[in-house]
Amino acid sequence: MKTLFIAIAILYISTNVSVQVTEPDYLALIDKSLYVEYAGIRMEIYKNDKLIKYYKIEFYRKEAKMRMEFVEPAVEKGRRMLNDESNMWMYMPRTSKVIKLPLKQAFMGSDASNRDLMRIEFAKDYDLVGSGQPDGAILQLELKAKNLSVSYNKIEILFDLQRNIPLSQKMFSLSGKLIKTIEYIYKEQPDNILYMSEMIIKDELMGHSFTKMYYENCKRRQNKPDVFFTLGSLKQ
Amino acid sequence: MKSANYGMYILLFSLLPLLSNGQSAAWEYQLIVESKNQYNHRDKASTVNKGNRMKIDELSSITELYPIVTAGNDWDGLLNTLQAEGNLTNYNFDKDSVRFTFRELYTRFSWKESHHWTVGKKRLDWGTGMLWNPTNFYIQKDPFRTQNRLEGIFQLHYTCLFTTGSLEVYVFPEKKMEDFSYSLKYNYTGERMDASVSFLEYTRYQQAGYDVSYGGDRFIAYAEGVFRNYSRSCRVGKEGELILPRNRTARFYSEIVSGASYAFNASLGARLEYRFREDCLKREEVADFKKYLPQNSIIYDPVSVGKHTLYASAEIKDIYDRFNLQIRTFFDLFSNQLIVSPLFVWKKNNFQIELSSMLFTNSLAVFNSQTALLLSCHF
Repeated sequence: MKTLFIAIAILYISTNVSVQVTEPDYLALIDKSLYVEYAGIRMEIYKNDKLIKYYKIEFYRKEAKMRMEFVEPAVEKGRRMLNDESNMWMYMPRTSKVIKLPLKQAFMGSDASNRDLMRIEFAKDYDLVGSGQPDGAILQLELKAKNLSVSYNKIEILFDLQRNIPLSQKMFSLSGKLIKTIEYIYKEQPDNILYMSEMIIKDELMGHSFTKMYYENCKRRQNKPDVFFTLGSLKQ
Repeated sequence: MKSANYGMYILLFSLLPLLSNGQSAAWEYQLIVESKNQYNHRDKASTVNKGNRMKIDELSSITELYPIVTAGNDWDGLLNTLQAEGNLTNYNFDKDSVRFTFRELYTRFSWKESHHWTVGKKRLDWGTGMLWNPTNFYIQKDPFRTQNRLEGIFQLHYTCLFTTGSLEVYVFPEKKMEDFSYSLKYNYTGERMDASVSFLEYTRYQQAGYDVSYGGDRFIAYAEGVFRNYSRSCRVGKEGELILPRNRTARFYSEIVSGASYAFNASLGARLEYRFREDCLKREEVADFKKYLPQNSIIYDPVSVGKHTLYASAEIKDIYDRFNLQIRTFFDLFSNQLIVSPLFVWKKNNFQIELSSMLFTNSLAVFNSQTALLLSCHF
């Protein structure tokens, strides 16, 4: 009787244990894999495979706040951008003036919007509504926007289960039309951490246009204080 | 104040610490060349410029060279920065018409990104208005080209940054202590909006100001205003006599600017801006002003002489931002001054061409039109 009781108890516990096994939080894993607090970025904008323009940018981040400082070309040198989650500003060195920017405006003639580049938090903006496994090591995730303020209503992401990184993503409009695709390329850096080294953003509506972003000297942590990500600091 | 006199002291003051630790000092250089050539089609019937009393040439040119030097050095959290922006200007390619000034020449010490002390000549960045900034008591932008590099003002400036805003204290020295100006400004950043309030003690006058801006997904709305007990505008008396600002009745005047911009898509945008100046001409005063011209031409402003001014613009641009076309319109509701100004901008790498025209449609105008070609290059 005692043995039977123990067997039932073990069965009960194991059943509950198996029920409690939950899927990993893929959106948090994606956010974590893309999170860097410092990077040197070279952004190249192409039309019909021809380089139209480029920017060299120093990128700083602290949680959801991001700041970009333009280094090249000479005409843009000293320009700065800041996103503090709900606001976006641009500092113009020639007039020493800061102007506020709309979040959905195109980013400096690129295929990305200000929001694409200055707000990268899937867990905050999207719900995971479906997943499939087209390949043993790759999972396809379907994300739906939590509200209409987000740039894209639906996103599909190919997720590498072995390395816990996103490989590519497709962004869809409210009507279900494919608007943009992003491809992520990674490189292991000397600290043995896998960092995104390249991002290719393609405007599917334009067809012939794409933006490449090369990431260098990525750091998971930097020591800039919180005030570095404020409007007041942007003017200094 | 002769800023050039102070310039050398600041330069030396800044260079000493930078050079004392020269190996870690970071120096950056930039050179900007701008050349503007303009055709002025004078209005021969203009009442303001009767018989071309302003001696305006049909062709005019201005060439400007901006050498910019920035140096920075970091000693364990104390960052020292030096910024020098020179300006070499030549008018009409005349070799006797060359002058050099420092547009900016300042040194800044920053402690852990939170406390900033600045000494020297630096531009004031006050206000949210795109064309007009009433809070900026010192200098106003050229509304026909808002991205012109403005002249700085000699100042002692301290900023303390918080995560939700900043507090700024300014002292603007003059030759005599009693002519010094002082200002206090508090800036706040909240959900989708930022705002600031400022108070200025301007010799024996006072000015209280505010500005606010709100950012949406596709639009920006902003407002800025001041109340001050002085005026810089002249008035016209009943007999057509000129009443100078210092002789105007001592009272508070308000100046308000509000505006909004909207980005329809990556290629199309629009902006509206409205300005109210309480101390400018009323409708009936505009008639007196016109009647007694050109004696009262000191009041003349090519954009507006009245209390209410409207600005509207539409912009169509290439999605790669290589070129854009703007149509800008200025309208004074009381004097009916109307200016329509198309502007075409073309950019290639560090080179930029701007072709603009201003079409004036009022008897007050000095010109029928002005057409300008501006070339600029950054190195």
